[in-house]
Amino acid sequence: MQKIPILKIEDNLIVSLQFDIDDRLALELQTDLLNEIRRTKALGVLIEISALDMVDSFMGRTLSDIAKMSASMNAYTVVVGIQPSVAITLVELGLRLESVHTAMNVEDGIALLKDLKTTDTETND
Amino acid sequence: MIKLKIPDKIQIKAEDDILKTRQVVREVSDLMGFGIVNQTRLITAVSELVRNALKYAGKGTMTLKKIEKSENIGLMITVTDRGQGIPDIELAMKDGYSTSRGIGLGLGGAKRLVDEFKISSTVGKGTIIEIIKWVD
Amino acid sequence: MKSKENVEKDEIFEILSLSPTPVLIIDKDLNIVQLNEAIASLTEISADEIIGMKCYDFLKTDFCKTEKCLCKRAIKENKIISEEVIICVTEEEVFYKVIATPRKNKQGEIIGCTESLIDISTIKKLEETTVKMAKEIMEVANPIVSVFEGILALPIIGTLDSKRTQQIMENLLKQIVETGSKIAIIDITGVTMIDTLVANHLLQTVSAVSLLGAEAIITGIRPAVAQTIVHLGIDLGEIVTRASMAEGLQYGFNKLGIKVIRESK
Repeated sequence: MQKIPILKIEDNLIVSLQFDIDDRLALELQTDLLNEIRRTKALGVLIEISALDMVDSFMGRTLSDIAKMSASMNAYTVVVGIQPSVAITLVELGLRLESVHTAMNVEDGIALLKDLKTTDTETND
Repeated sequence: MIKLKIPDKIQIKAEDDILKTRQVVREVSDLMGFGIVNQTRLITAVSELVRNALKYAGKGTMTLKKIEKSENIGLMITVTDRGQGIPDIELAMKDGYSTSRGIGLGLGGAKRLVDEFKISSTVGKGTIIEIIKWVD
Repeated sequence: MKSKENVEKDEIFEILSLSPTPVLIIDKDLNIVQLNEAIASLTEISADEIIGMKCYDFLKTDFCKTEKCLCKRAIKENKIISEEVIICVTEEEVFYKVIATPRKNKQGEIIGCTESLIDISTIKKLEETTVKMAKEIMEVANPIVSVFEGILALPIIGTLDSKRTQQIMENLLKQIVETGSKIAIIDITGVTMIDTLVANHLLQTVSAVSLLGAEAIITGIRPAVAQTIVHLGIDLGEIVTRASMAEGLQYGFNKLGIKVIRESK
């Protein structure tokens, strides 16, 4: 049984999707991530998808769901590594990745998460 | 050079088959000379259609065919299922329409990714969707 | 005004015979019944041998012996039929425009047709060159330039069609990933006209760029283009626009936290 590993860097959780995921895995991932957010008090989730050669409406919905659920637990979600052809197809499909922020790679993604969290603290002051 | 045996008919019975159909379409479209972006468009459209068949009918069939028109060559993919059928096709093609949780049947999206899109459905009998994409 | 010259019927035939345009006279069964000098000069076969040959054995075009045969169509439809074909007369393949005209007898019945062959090989070559040149111009006219670290500029020139716009979109996205740029300035000062399809592709490009974690802005929207955009009901939404490439660059600098200082000398 495949399980998607979740890594932790500082207060961010990182997931790398290397292959296509089905219903079962998607659900598992969501549950595992939320549990981890609660356990580690993570404030950011980074999902790396450069290995995916396609994002269809199911995958798009999965990513949005993860982002919305994480947001309800006070964590931002950034998706990184969307390939050009995937980006074009996503836009033409008309898929909107709600609640999802995007960056080009892991490095930029972590920087973006930092920015998002900083803006939060600033507004709260 | 090993000649790949490409199946022109694939049964869709389980989730694993969705991945299989995408791999086959990727290979075939690549061999036919489609560019990377068009390959991605094709496999995404196929993924939507095959997933629908699986979800709403439990199973289905996908067939691939190379076609010609004037001096162009194209790929025709047909996804057939014997499910409940779609009562209102126009409504189903609208973005955001869905009879189960989710963001819609993905039919409208799939249509935008291909050059030609034909759908016929009979309630109680099933649905046939035929898509065509021409090589540039 | 009536001409002073009266050209007799026999003279017409003489003149036709000497015309530089190769002409074949064909009967209902596609037999060649007469031809002019120009035809004879195209081939080594003697005029006497050609007369009596079937038209399709002589011309051997792709249309011959199919339902597209020009003679048959001219005879059947009583219309002038013209097509561009490749004819291989003496080993060489030449582009011709063949014009088949139905022939009628005194009673008005169709008894065959005439076929005129017009050499269009020069025109075809010019067409090919023009297409090639246009393609090259397009490629040169839409370069993606790295104007500063992290900032790409894409000046678009000329009328855009759907296919070209899609290609530009693909190239831009690839370049953004390759250079790791965060800002892409799409300048359309050189675009005089835009339609719904192209406008939508542009909007899609901007969306796709943001999925990559970068930002695309549009600069140089001409008044005519601005009017079209509004008339077509296109909503630019949150897309940043600036009047000129220079202003776009300024926006990019601001976004990336870059300051440009002029040193006093």
